[in-house]
Amino acid sequence: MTLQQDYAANAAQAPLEGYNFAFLDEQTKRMIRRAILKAVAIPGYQVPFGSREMPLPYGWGTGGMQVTAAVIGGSDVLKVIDQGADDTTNAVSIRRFFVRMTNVATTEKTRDATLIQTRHRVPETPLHEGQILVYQVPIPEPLRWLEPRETETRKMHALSEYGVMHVKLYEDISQHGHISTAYDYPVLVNGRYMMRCSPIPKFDTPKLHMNAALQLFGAGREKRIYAVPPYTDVKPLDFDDHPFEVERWPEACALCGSHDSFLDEVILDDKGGRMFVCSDTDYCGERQAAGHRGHMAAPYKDEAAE
Amino acid sequence: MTTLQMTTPAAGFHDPVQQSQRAFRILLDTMARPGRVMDQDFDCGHPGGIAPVLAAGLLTLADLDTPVWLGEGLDTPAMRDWLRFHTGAPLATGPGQAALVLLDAARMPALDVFSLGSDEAPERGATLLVQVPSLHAAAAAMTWRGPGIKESVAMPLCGLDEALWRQRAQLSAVFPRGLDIYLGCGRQVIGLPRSTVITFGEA
Repeated sequence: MTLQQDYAANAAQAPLEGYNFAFLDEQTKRMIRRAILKAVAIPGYQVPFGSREMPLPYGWGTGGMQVTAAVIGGSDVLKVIDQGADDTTNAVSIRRFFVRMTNVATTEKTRDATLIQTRHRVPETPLHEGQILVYQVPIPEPLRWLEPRETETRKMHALSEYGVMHVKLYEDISQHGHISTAYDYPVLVNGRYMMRCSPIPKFDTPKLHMNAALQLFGAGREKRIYAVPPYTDVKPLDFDDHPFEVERWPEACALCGSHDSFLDEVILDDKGGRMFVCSDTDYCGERQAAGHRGHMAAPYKDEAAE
Repeated sequence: MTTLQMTTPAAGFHDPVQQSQRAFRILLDTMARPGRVMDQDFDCGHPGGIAPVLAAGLLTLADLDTPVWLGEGLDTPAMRDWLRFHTGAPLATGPGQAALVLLDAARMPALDVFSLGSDEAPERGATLLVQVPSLHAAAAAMTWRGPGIKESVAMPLCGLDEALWRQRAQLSAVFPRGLDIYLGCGRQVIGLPRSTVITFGEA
């Protein structure tokens, strides 16, 4: 089934009978909504909430889904991405779930969406005011691998005691000559709270800074909600002599020729053949539609006819 | 002879699921963009004497888990009945025990009577819903800066005493503890999260 057929099949369905709008009961939504408001008021702070069982296991985006369910309304246009793609398993399942539970409109176009739920990427197309980006978060606590005790990490956040993370980054440098943390890069939000950006590649980390959209983070298993309001200072941790840097690729996207997007490496054969292609399928598709071509893209129709 | 009086509480949302969602989005958008006035584009029942937008806020946020404190002038039998009937929220035994607080700008207590939360659990700081006479005024008297505000925004006093604004400004020193405030007038509302830093004059 193509994505278009999938959308058509979804649209034909009325919301499932016997369920509340957006699946969660109203009491649960109120509890989550109160947590979201506190999260927005204290940027980067992880607000505990009573995470519910969802009809898929923890680890598949239940935190993001609960946040989306508490926020979504009939006039929203929903986009769901998994690693930048609209047509991967997790994205398709979650999108179908919300269509069945709310009957909202869905889209693949980043700029048409009012509500975007994402797993592990920030869309390449800049977000605008009024949009809400909901991240699915596996481990919300940035200090967890450095300090396993919640009682301690809670104190460390209360006291803004983040030296241990600088030590970790320093050890990276002393072992590898550079900061080797490539995803889930630790940031300081509004100069106060250290925050984990969910496992987005560090390429996406600068997009959190002064973003026009509201960014909400939901961790279902770990029962935490946190937020970055629009136009909020988000600073990746680094050192003066080892400043934060994003990854770069030796090639441009093989399909759309973009030099500015996050590229996935795709192995083509067992003889070392490979291609680099945009992880954000909507961005790549839009660029191709606008006439941009990478070296492995299908030729234009008129070119093919010649 | 006395008669047993049964009064019916005022109405609330006529479509609780959809209207609480829309009311929540207004609360969310205003908290995420401090200083921006937002209009509630629908009506909801309320006991009179309070701004419809704040009534909608109470119906959206209050339930069994949120002790509510009704400020001076708002603690009326009609209000209590309405609140208990629609939300089931307990009335707080004192202002310091309240999660949600409904206040009138003309009769504000000092802000330090409310819970600010703790450094380890700052989310326990109270949310204040304050009814103000106007959100628009000719003269801006303060500047707001912080998350959600692109650079800065000039704001009027909104009918609150300047002394009270100075109390609020001083709370920035105890961040992340603090109070999150909604200022409501009619169907219009402004959000003021604890992260907003207030300065006075031209600053």
